[in-house]
Amino acid sequence: MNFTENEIFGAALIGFDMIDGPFLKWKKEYDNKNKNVRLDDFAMNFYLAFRGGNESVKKPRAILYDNFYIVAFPRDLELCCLFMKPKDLENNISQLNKIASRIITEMENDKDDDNTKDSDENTIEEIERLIPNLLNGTKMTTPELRRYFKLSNSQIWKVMSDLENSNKIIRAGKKGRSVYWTAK
Amino acid sequence: MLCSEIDKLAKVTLIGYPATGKTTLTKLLAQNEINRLYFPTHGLDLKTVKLEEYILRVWDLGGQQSYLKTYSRDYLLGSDIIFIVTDSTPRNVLNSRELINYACHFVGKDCPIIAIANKQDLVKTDGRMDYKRVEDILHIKTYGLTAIDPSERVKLLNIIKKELDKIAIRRRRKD
Repeated sequence: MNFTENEIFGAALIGFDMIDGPFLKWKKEYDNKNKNVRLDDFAMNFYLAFRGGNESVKKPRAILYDNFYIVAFPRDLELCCLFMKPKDLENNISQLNKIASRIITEMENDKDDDNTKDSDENTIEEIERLIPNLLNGTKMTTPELRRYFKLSNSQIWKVMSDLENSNKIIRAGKKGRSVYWTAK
Repeated sequence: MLCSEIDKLAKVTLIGYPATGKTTLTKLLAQNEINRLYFPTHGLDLKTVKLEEYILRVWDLGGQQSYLKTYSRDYLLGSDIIFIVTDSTPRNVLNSRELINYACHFVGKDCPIIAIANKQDLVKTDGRMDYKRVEDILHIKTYGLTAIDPSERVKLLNIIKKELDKIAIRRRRKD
């Protein structure tokens, strides 16, 4: 990895208290102009991002955000985070975004194999409770919703029809053959 | 951290099924902007809130089953107050009984388990249950709230303050 020390704009040591959990133990900001990260607010979230989950699960060494990245080095339960602002990240992200879009399109084309198991009645009721929340102030297509809930095509249409009939959701347009839905 | 500060630290844990309003309640406490879009909490979120002499560490655990199964045990331990958050729909209230039983396994009698019957603004229009009915079903102290209403912050803080004061009295008696 090529970098210069100038790219480090901050460092933090996040400690861990057995009762209270992660806390910001120490911090140093090398570049006062950089207001990307409010360390006090995000220290605990960074800790979980790097250390969360079971010990057996692989942990990230670095996490890339919109315009900076963090590299973390664990020391027992503590975590030393270096906040980096690398050069040309915007361009790299834009290139990677194009690749990701291609992969998503590929997946969309392959997804028609409908081998999802039928969900039980209790799960369907829970889904009917969640969908109006999910569609509150936003629009989603039927296939998008189907993927969120691991439902079969026939099941998602049954759920959407029920919700439409009970006036909880309405149709908000079409995208190709897919219907957009939104909460009423 | 000084001993006097540790005495005033309180761990407030919110658990509940997805989309019941745990994150909105957390944002309400932290005075963060509340919008109506629903984004599920992945894992958990933590906020620190100052309440008079207390410092509240608010733990907002994602309601998805995998999070509840994997993490809730660890996050419930050491709680000073546990809030079971329901969206006041009949099904969700009934399901929440399971969470109460679950939470009881991990905390002692000193830790109050309190239900929040959220989304009370929808009682008349969307068939949500009145908080008193929720209390009858859950058999634990239940408060009705509308987390999207910033004016409810004072009410929530008062609930927490009242419970923390009770805990402090119990602890002093023990000492």
